[in-house]
Amino acid sequence: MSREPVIVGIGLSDYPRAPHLDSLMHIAQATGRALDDCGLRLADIDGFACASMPTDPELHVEAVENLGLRPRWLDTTYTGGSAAQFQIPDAAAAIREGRAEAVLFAYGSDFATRFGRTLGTGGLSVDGGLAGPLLYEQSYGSTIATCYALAATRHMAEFGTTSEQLAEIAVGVREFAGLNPDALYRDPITVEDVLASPMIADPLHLLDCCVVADGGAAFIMTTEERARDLRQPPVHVLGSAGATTHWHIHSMPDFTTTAGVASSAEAYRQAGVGPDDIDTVQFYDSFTITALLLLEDHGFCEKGEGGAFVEAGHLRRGGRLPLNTDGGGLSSCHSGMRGTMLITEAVRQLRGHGGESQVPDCELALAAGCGGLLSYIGTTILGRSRP
Amino acid sequence: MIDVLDDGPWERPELAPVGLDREYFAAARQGRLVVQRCPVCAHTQFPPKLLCVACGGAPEWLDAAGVGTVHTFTIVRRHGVEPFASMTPFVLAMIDLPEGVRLMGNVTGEEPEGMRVGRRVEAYALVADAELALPVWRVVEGQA
Repeated sequence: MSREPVIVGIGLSDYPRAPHLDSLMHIAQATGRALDDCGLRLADIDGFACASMPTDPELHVEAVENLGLRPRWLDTTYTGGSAAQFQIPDAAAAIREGRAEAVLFAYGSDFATRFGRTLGTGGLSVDGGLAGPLLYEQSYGSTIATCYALAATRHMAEFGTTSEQLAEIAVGVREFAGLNPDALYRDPITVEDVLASPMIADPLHLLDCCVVADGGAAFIMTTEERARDLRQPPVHVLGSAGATTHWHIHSMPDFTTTAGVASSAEAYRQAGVGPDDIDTVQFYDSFTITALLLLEDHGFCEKGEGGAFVEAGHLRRGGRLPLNTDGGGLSSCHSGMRGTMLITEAVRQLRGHGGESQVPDCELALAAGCGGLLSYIGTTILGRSRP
Repeated sequence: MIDVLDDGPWERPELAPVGLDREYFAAARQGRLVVQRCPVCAHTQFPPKLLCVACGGAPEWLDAAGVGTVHTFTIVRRHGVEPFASMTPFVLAMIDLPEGVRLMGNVTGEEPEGMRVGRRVEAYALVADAELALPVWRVVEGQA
């Protein structure tokens, strides 16, 4: 009997605007849909993986209560938008070792309803004065957008990357958003549109930045054996690993290279595959530069050649490596931490349920989360079968 | 020594540092830009920490020359919080110091549009209160 880990159920809560749901309700709704998707019952869940944002600091324990769970296995590792990718390795081990039979991963947030759209340029709350590491950046007017702009400027200076090349990422992801009826922004855009949108923090324009949305996602991991009598074809967890280099942007050791180099090397090793084998990528796209750095650091091209790779159209619908087939954070939904949604979309593609967005002959998908400020990178490789 | 400038009421976020962080901003108030150097392994680091991240030793303060080079930067166009909203557009940069550390700061002294990676800058400090000052940077004049 195979106890190899597979993903059997996925669900999304109402997005991108859902004033009728709070963060816990997003989790409960997404969980209910993931259970319906696969045919498991809530009582079957005996493992739980969930990370709490600073905006909902006790979300993980409140969710256990809200769902009535009695988990034998629990992981609340918080690394921002890569939390799911950091939690998957031990969940997979727990499944293999019999420490859990069915692990629920869930995230949800009423981000847009509660905070509005200005979070990326609003700085962080500094009630009571600045202390600790924030002294060394918040006192200078650092925002979320400026952190990524610092990486983009350096990439341009070192490698000649252009604003047009970054814009191409947003244009390609928007094309997929146009095929997703729920996506926040669906109208096609051009490179010229991105460059004509207001500059937020040079060289990043408004359309280089992700949306702010409400939303949640859930997926369920169980054994290959248990999956046999469930509703959906199982998706195999072939490799997953996380790595880090810093937390605050002022301590980023190399502004053009992330810990994705280390996380992807380990994930590829576990899966026994390489970049050439991957059919689609679901990359964290908080900003266009985020996706560009992940592309390079996951070995799809050499460091510094990401701009040319993007310009060639490889990431587009019909290209050799379609990116963010649900419309991504750039155009569809970004509700604080998107790591869980990267997995649900990769699973949808591997099942062949992508509809108009379906990547042809999709056998292997790579999902890479980026948490903090280009700080915690997690890589997960999923497959339609186990090689 | 770096210039210490009192340009009016402090409108940036209140600085509320303790311990090593307080020593750093207090040094700036006295006209000293300081970073840390480990007496065991000679590693330099910033921001200040209790342990040397290279060897676990106990770092000591090192007076920096107060000069640097722009490693990367952005021109902040949108900001939701005062006084930064009124300061836009302004330059936010990472500065490489010859002492081997990199730190964040604002750069003044020319129009933001003129900023380039590699620009040489020098430190000065803005008075926050009687005891603390915030190190910032300005472009070194007379360069291309």
